[in-house]
Amino acid sequence: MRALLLALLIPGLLSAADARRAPRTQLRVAAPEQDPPLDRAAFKATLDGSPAKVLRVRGPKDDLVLLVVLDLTGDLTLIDSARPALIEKLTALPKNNWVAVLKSQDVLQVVQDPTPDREKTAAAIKEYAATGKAGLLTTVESASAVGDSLLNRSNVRVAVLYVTDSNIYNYREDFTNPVINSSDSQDLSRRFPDQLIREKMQKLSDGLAASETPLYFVHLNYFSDPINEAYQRGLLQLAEESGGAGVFCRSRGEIPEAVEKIVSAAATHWSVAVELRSVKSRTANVDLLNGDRDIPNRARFSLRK
Amino acid sequence: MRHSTRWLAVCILSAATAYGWQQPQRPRTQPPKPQTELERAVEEFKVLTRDLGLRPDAPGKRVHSSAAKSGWHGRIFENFRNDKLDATPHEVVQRGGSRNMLRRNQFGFNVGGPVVIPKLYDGSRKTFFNVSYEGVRERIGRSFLRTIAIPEERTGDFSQTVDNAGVPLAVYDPQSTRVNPNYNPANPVSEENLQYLRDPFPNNRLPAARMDAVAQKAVSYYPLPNSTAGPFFRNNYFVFSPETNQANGMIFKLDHALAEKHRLTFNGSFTNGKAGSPRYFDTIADSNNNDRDFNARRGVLDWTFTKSAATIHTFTLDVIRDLSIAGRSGQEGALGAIGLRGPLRDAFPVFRYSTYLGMGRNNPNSVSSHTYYYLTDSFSTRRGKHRLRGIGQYRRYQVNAYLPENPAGSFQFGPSITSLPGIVNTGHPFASFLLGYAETASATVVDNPSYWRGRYYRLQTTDSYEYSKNLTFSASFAVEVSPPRVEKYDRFASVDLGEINPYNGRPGALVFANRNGRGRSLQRTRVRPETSFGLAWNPGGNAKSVVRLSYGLSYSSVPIYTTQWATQGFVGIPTVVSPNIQLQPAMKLGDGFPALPRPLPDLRPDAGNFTSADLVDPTATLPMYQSAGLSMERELPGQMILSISLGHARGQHLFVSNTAANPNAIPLSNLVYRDALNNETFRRTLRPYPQYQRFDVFSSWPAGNYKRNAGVVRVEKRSSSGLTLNATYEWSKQMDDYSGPYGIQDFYHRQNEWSLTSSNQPHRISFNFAYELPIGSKKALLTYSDWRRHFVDGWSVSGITSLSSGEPLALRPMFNNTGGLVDALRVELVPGVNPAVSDRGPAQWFNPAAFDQPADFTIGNGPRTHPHLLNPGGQNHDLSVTKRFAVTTERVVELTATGFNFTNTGNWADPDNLIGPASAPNVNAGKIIGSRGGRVIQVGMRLSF
Repeated sequence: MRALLLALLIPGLLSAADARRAPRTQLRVAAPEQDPPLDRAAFKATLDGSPAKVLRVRGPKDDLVLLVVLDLTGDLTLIDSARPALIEKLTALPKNNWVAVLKSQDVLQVVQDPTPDREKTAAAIKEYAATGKAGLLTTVESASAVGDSLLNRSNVRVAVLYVTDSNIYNYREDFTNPVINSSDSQDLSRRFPDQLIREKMQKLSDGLAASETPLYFVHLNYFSDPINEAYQRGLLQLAEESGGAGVFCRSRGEIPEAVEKIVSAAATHWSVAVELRSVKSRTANVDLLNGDRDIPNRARFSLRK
Repeated sequence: MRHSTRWLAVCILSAATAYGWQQPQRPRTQPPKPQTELERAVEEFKVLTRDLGLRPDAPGKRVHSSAAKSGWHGRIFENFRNDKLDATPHEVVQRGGSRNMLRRNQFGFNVGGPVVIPKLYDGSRKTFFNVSYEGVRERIGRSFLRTIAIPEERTGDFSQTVDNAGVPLAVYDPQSTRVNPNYNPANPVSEENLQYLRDPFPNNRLPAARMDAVAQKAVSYYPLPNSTAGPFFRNNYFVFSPETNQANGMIFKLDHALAEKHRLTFNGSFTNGKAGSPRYFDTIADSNNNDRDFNARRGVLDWTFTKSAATIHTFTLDVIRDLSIAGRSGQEGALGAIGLRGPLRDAFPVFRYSTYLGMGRNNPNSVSSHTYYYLTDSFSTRRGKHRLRGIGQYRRYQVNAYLPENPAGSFQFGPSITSLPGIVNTGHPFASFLLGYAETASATVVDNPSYWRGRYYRLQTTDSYEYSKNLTFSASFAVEVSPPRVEKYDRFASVDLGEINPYNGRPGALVFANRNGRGRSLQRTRVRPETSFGLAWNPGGNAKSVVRLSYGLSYSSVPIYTTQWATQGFVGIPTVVSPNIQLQPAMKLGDGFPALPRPLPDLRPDAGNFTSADLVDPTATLPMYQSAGLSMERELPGQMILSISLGHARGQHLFVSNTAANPNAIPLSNLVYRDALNNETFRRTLRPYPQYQRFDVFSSWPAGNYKRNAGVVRVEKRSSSGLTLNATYEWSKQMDDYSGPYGIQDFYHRQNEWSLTSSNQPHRISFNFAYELPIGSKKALLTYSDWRRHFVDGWSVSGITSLSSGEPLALRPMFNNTGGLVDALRVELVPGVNPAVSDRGPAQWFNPAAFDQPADFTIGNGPRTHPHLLNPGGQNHDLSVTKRFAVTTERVVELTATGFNFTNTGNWADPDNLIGPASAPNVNAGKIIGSRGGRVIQVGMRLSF
């Protein structure tokens, strides 16, 4: 009975779902601030090689909601270095930059709603308990989706900033392909131990291809083993594909500078809304120009959403 | 009906979510209207995160949405190998053979996510699981090339037998031995000055009536030659036999957040399997390894208490257990079948006759079980600029072992008894075997398993101090106390080198735990104070550079031995030794193995006399390691990272095995006694502990030393275009006084053994890359969005290349005529002859004329490993090609083809390292015969969801 009902209902549901998908009319393209600064009025865009209309430009002086996600589970000495640096840099942001604090252990959870009150932000960061499992990979899609929703419903810039020390061995999900049968001396499947994490990163990359929220991250603890290198490489790829940026710290002394660099990059990014009218394919390639300057903007978008 | 309706609603919601309905309609309360865009964003943030269940105050059940993907994820995979995909290995091609059979399937799954039991438990925010299973079914053909007796030799006809130079080898009749009346003791024994006269067998054939009945029956279980690969009947037996491997394993993890500050994690794993060893020959006399059934279990329970943001407390209980049962069926009745008598347990005995493939296996039936408990409590907190961490750990080990090494006896046959006494390159081990004349024989009589117990206590504290933003110091200090291991039933024995042996009144007698006023252990409590120091510094405050300096001092703990070593007296090891290997055998097979002199347990001080007695180090000495390192990492433009590191390490009192430690060795100054050393009765008087043949120190005598210097340069290049490159070069030089397959020559002057570590490869280069091909919908080229995207999207390639120089050459003399004083004789250097050759190649890798066989009763002056000559280096190139098919954003099929040694490169085998005398040179010395390696392909499919 259930199977019959499902068989009758599902095709109809699929058709209805397709029909109700709202067509996208614009793409918000993230681009980093340049030196010298970009000119708000000089933005031009091409979509798949053809000129496209720039609908709106939001720059470093415009409103920003910064979603700071804490993904810290490891060495407290590094985390203790990151906390004051992060608080200092966030405190120094302009008043129209509102900061939310979330944490990624278990599931993505809100610690502090977006607020201009830096004391609340600082308190949330100070009280954050660095235990549990690494959560960046399992929460980054949710964080981006929240960012996209804010972009859709308000006229502000939105960025997601992960502060992480995540180690691939500290994930709940098994990306490390550990040896299960130790007696299997002929096992060659682990010769390229980074395959699982590369696949996961590729899947995330595909999943985030439709997102418009730029991702930033500061990784406090760089690891040099092959699996972690693939993981860290994947993080950088995710950030750069989203129009954001990432930075790794190899020592504690690097943390303050890295935090400053990445908070600044997130706070000063440009968000340029480009009209999406004649694209019929599943992907769109966008190039931004500022006057005659070519900008290293987020270039490729999936339109499947 | 109501149940069905609810289920239908769930179906509709799930389907709608899966196919893209973004935001289900939700009832919203009417908040105050936002005044600004930022306020509007905050309002949206609050509503959205509440609906997605991302807030502590969110309703219990989340609304499903693609924005809150937290369902179950995992993968299913299969890896497949078949010999049809592989290249024929070089060594097989060179023998004219064909590829070995290979069938291999490796399969499994992984799934993980929140624990949700409908209507019973919703752990979607706090309880998570992850399960991985992997199974292996493998059948792989193994090929071996060995040397066995030719058919004529099996019947006692040695008329065709030749030495390594192809010169006929004479076999002499032991029964014809007589004193040479013309022997001049003032001169060395030589063919012109023989001490004993002995007649060769007529026509080099053993008379049938003289052949031992046990040996003849044993020969019926021995294979016939089937190959002509080598000269002089060498490498005349090629065997192809399947090795099987079946295993099933699982890893499961469960973690649960108890309130905000407590977290429980459980990790468990098991593996069960059966490893079937290939056979050299398919009879009960096969000498290859045993089949083995095994299982392993592990459980780790971890509780983390986060007292505050600065203080974390973790408690861990880890239990590991594994069981191994090795053996082969069909051994019953083996002793009766060959007619060997004695106090032996039923299995095929071990017969060894030098370079020929032997018969019988050590440890024909064994069981061992290991259980380890680890209890760890760690505490981490911050005090000002100090980050402190304390760790306390208790470890308990339990090892139960039943490992009778040679229950059916082990019999060694040498050439001496069939040689012309005192003349090398005469006589033949297989002839000695056929005559039944063993040089030595021993057996292992085990009535009980051993139940070893050990425990360790460890306290450790570490401090990380931030001196400034750019300079951090770290220090660690640990103390570990390990009371000595005990045997549950006090079946623990060792030679005490200070105890007087009643047999001869000399020091060295067997003592037993918990008897005669001794404690339950025969070892001492060890204390390990360990420390380390390090700093990390950003020179000039430049965050792109970091310099690290480190120093560490540590000790190895005494392992809890996993065998029945040190149970002599409870275990009987009756041993018979030839009084003079040239003149008289230890025993004749047909006479049977001598009866045990006394029943077990034999707990008298002289119970271990005339055996290789177990000797436990009575001191509190522990292997000590010191290391110092300096490294620099520098971030370069273009996302490139350069790392340079230098390291120095040294170790003292490292645990070494019997080949590198022999407290009962006869000092080499006694070589002056020359041929008299062949007399066991005389030789025994020269030993420090004459009542023992030697000592078995297992792998636990603290006598080794090593030193290592190394430098590593590593370059990493990352590119957002999907290309990553890693290149590493390592130079190292490691010296020691113990390593290598042959052992050391002089146990009393270890400084003479100081040479390159036998495994030292001075230059190693590795190069890894991973590249996502720039084609497909998100890439620069072929950005199709129609059906063609399925073919061009998702291609990636990765590779690993490694090159290394060879290990140092270890040369061996062909003969060892030192009266049994030297186990590992070295070669003699020929002055003025360059050991290197100008045009090095397989025809001549080194110049054998630079080395010589040492004269009889002298040691070689060559190094244990050569300081400059290396074996051929190796190279390997692995490549993996992967194609992803994204079914949905959540479901991906990945196909992988991996080529191991995909270039099908052959690496040269090591050159022949045997150096013969001028009278019987090894014509192959310095030559490389053949190469090895071949391409192996594995294809795999993985569905991830």
